[in-house]
Amino acid sequence: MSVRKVLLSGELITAIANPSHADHPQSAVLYTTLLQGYVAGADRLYALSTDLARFDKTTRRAAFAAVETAHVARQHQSAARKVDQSHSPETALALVIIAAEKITAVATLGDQFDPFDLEIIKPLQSQ
Amino acid sequence: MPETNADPDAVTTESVPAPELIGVASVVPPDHWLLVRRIGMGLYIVGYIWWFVAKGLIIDRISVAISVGLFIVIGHLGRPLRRWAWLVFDVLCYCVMWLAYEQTRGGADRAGFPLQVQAPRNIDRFLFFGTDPNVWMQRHFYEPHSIRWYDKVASATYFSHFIFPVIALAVLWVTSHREWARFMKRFATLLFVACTMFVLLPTVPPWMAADPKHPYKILPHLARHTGRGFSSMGLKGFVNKWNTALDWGNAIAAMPSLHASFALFVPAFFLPLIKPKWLKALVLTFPLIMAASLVYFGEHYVIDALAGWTIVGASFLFWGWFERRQRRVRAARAIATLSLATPA
Repeated sequence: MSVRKVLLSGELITAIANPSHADHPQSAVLYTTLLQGYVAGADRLYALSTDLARFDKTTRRAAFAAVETAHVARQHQSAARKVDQSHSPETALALVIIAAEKITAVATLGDQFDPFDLEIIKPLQSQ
Repeated sequence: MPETNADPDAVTTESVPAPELIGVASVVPPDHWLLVRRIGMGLYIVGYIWWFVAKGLIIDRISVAISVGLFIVIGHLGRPLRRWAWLVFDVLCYCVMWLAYEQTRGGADRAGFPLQVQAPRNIDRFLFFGTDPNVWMQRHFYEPHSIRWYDKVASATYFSHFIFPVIALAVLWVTSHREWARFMKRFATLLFVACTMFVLLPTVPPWMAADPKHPYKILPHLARHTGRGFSSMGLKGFVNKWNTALDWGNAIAAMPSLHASFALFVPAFFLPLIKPKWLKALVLTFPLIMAASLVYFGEHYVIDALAGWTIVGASFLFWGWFERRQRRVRAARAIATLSLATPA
């Protein structure tokens, strides 16, 4: 069985972790669906270490227990700075990690990954 | 996982339409170290093959460790420091595991548990309706003065034990730390159970049970011709002299057969990645050929191989169950923490 590697974007994990966030309900439903894939062994979920670092350890170990940390090293940040300036620094860093970890899908709320040859997973309402 | 009110229809998984799609690799700067690693790997493979042909197949554990270490270092060139730190930790765990294995294996004969001499032979006789498989195979296939094609196949299969698991470990180490960890959990479990059995059930192998130089003589004479086919192909084993200083090997550590275990372990681990059924079936003939070779050479009884396969199966079942449970627990924890069961 081939396992899909899914990167959870920074904005998505922020919305998931924050119940008062406007996109929390849709993000929560999307995350639940992804967790079902994770439990079935069909998906591996990733988030950037720089994104996860925004949360305390308790939140990371509980809310994102199923999410693997894609560690951002200095060389990744250096590579991200060389990415076309039309992309935001966060998107550039995510793209570098996507290439390094051979990630094929991105779960996100925005449209920053739409131009790329990736499987884009979004909550219905955010499209 | 707890039940949720999540409506699957509320989520779509869409592949963005093809026309204007940009490959991620085209916007990310190329990793020059990747080229360095690839060239290094190519040179390593050429060097390994040269060594194999000129000096022999690397067999002793320290030489194997050095050759694997070199491969892994090449595979980590240009990787982040964190990966190197993981590597150091992994290597320490790996060394502790092998040292514990060797010590236990060597100490098995000092533990004082009764030596199993007749029991494995009797089980084989029961399984094969009164026939000794080792004796039967040598009577029907072994020719003292000529080396047949199957001698070469059996011998090459036997010696593959010294490279296949190591290659699998090294490749996983370099390509996927997560898969390496999955492999090692199962592998360490196999070794732990095997070592326990070596201590509790020291077992005389068939060649020793038949050897006139030993007191057992419970089988007719068996030729121990394991390396004959291998050397007839112009190949040999490379064993450095440091092996003699660190050789804690034990000839009565025969139950279970690690040769048979490893021969099933490696194909079984990679089996989910193989798609065609015929290829799966072909890959699974390897442990059968290994078991037949071990019996033919008088290295093991059939029951030793069956015991090894059983432990491999149990190790895979246990860790498969454990990993599924771990995923369920993590997902349930995430849902409980975020109150995702009742999204607004």
